[in-house]
Amino acid sequence: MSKKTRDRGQGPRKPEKRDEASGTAPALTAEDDLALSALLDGELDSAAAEKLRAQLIAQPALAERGAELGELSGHLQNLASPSERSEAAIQLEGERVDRMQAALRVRLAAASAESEAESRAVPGPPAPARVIPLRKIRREGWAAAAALAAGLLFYLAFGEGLGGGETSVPSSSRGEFVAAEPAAPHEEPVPEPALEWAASPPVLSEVAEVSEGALALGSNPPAPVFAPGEAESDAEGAEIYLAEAGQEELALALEWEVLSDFDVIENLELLELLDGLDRMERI
Amino acid sequence: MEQKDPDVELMLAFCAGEEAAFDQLFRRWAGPLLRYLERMLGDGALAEELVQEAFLRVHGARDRYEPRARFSTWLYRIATNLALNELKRPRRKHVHQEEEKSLLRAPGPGIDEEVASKRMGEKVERELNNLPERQRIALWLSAAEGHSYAEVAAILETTETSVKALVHRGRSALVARMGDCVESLTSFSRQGTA
Repeated sequence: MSKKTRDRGQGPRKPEKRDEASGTAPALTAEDDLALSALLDGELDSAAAEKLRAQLIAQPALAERGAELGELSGHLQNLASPSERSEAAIQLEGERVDRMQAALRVRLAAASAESEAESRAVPGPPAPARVIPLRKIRREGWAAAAALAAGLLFYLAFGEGLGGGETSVPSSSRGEFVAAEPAAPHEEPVPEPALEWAASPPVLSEVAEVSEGALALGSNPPAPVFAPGEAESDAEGAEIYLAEAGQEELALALEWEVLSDFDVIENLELLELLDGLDRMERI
Repeated sequence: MEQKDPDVELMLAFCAGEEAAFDQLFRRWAGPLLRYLERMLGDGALAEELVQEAFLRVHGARDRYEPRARFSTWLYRIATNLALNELKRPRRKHVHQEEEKSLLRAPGPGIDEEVASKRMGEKVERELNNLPERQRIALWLSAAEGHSYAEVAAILETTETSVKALVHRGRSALVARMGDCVESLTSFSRQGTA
């Protein structure tokens, strides 16, 4: 802090008497106030200060204003300077400074310990996050979907025959057309017609018939036993149904059968595949 | 830059690794800074907190300190910025140091002039806190703590002309608000000297 030469709280001296010639004090300007303020703060150079002091003697109003401002400065300095305070106030401030210094040391020690700990534990470069390209997910999703579709078609085509003949679906849950098993009603061995369609894929309306024929391919599943009359009537009903059903109804019926067959699917891999596909879709 | 500033010497010593120099700087400046911040904030506890914060920043600047100005100017600039930031926040409950106030209030027995002076001081203190922030800071630093206008300008990051105007406006406003109180004290003094 620069030391400024000024009288503590006195300011410019007041004149002994007021401007008696005029009777009234001349009006003070803002410039006068600024100059007085600068004089009190020690901001005027010596020449300007001398000039102003001469004016103070000549102008009582200016001197009075100077006295007011000087009083105020004195009070401000008294507030700021401990030398003007009581011993108790000085002591109190000393205690506060001690307390602050102790607290500051604690904070500095904590900050130092923290920075040391940080410098010790220098973290390596962060491991790059594993990014799976969306395209790959999509590709895999499509592959899974294609595999699933192929699996479903295959299952649809060959039905229970894949299950080694162990799986038997109750006729009630397979729909009417499933019961139309042309080969089953007779206990005689069924000739193998399967290879006939392999060259030319069957249309949907033929799928049911083909699938039933294909049942006999893999193994010889125990043929359901029907009463001769019942089997014949079922087969006839199915033929009528298939003949009358449109492509759309047939597709729905086929889908229904597939869904109903899920209850007895033992191929866990297919279920897992389906589950995976669901998850892909959710993503 | 004045190389003879003893505080700058201390700060340079601290930068060179002398921890005791920092303690010395704190002992020299914590008190004035505390009074200044208390005046600005009207809250003793907060002022203590900011004094510590200001010295923490001084401590943290040891590696990059360059003596471009007086140490006190730099320190007050840090403190002023902290105080202004604090004043911008939603108004906190300012708790004045009642015990200190009571010490100021306690008059010596039978000394009327001292009583009047103390009352005047209280009034000045109260009215000072009602001044706009920058006027209050400029007036306090210049008139009460004796900083030059150039130093105040550096602290407030403004020009000397602006500081001159701020101090003048603050002082005039304070005198106007004091009004009768100043007059009564002046007349009291006149009677006392007659």
